[in-house]
Amino acid sequence: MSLEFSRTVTFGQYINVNSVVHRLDARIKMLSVACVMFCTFMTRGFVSILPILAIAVLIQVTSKIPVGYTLRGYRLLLRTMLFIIPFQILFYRAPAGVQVDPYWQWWVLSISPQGISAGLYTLTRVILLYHTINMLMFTTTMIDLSDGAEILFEPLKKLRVPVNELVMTMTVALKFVPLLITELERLIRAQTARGVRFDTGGVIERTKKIVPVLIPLFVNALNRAEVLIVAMNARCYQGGEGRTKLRTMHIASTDVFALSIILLFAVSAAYIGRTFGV
Amino acid sequence: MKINVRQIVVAGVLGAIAIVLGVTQIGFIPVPNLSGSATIMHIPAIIGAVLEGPVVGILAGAIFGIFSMLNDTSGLFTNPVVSVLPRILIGLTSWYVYKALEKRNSDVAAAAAGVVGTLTNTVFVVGALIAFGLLPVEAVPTIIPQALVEVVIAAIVTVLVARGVKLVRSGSTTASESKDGTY
Repeated sequence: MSLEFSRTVTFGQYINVNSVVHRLDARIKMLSVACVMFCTFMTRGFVSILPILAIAVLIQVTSKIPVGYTLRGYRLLLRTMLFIIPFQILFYRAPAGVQVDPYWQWWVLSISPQGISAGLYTLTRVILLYHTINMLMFTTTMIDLSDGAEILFEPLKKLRVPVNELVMTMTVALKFVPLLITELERLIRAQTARGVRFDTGGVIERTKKIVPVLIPLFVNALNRAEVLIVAMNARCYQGGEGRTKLRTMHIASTDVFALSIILLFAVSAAYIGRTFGV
Repeated sequence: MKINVRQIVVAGVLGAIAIVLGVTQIGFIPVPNLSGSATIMHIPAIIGAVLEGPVVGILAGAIFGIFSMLNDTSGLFTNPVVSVLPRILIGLTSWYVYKALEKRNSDVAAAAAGVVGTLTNTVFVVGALIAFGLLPVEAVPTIIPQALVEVVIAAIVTVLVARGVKLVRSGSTTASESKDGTY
């Protein structure tokens, strides 16, 4: 097991390079991501997912994020997919009207070309969804994300939903992730130094090994929480009411242009998927 | 509804623990079945409910749910009814159980909260997956060993962590290791 999580974990990191995508309005980026994700669900096969793929490539190129860095984040994803994809192929059930000619069949399990292609399609879809979310995180600062989310969910305030507080909770969580990763790394090193091997043993043994890591992780995290509570109370944090922003967000013509391109591609993907089912 | 600073911060931190357990793969314990691993990512939500009440449990569960939706590696959790809703319920059910048993024995209550919280997660996630046709009903027996392992782990870990945190908070021990204030 690798001890250097902070090098392999790319989730939620902001990468500071100056690119067109970085300069776009956070609200526009979030709307685009929501739209791309929704349209990805509407795709039905390899043809309809092509426009989504085009969007992914376009964002990857224009954002100037190193391709190697993006790919590094897929390591864990691919490892889990190695378990999931065979599962999906084996349990594949053809939709009505599709002819299946399996290579091998037993009870509900089978291996068929249709099942394999469905499995690969799922893999592509998952990678594209993951890429879309990752790109948003890579190119947008935490402040922009939380400010943008607050504005986008503003209508919910009418329904007495505490939007500001919920966004703040999410922000606290994301802010703590890198900190806790370092902490976890340290705790695991400490246990490894005492001769514990985390990659061996049965279920009971692994549970026994993980408890001495989890307890200090929770205790230290909650201690840090106490400090933050005092700090926020000392600054009279009272939620969103009457709070003003130092920086206000503006939508420029590039934002509108970017959103319309993404909409064009995403909607065409959804349209192809819905009408032709490919 | 009003959420105070304490609830915001504690829920955020517990949600962060769930995310960290997920991204580092520490939160997955290999089990010999088709999905390959039992998870402990839902435990922060249960701990939140046990230590700070239902609001924190629900919020921490919601963060875990949103994370598993955004960071979905299987294509099954992209639907929020599968990924977010069951996780919101974890905090609620485990808090009810803990509240009901706390007066008798807080360790038993924490263990029961762990069991109920885990079952809430498993039953509602699997139920939603079947309802949306994402999982064939025939695949359910392959999930049972994983569910059993998760229940046992959650029962043990919830008791130990809840005890540990209460012990440190009671002040009869200190958790800090260094003098410069960093933990």
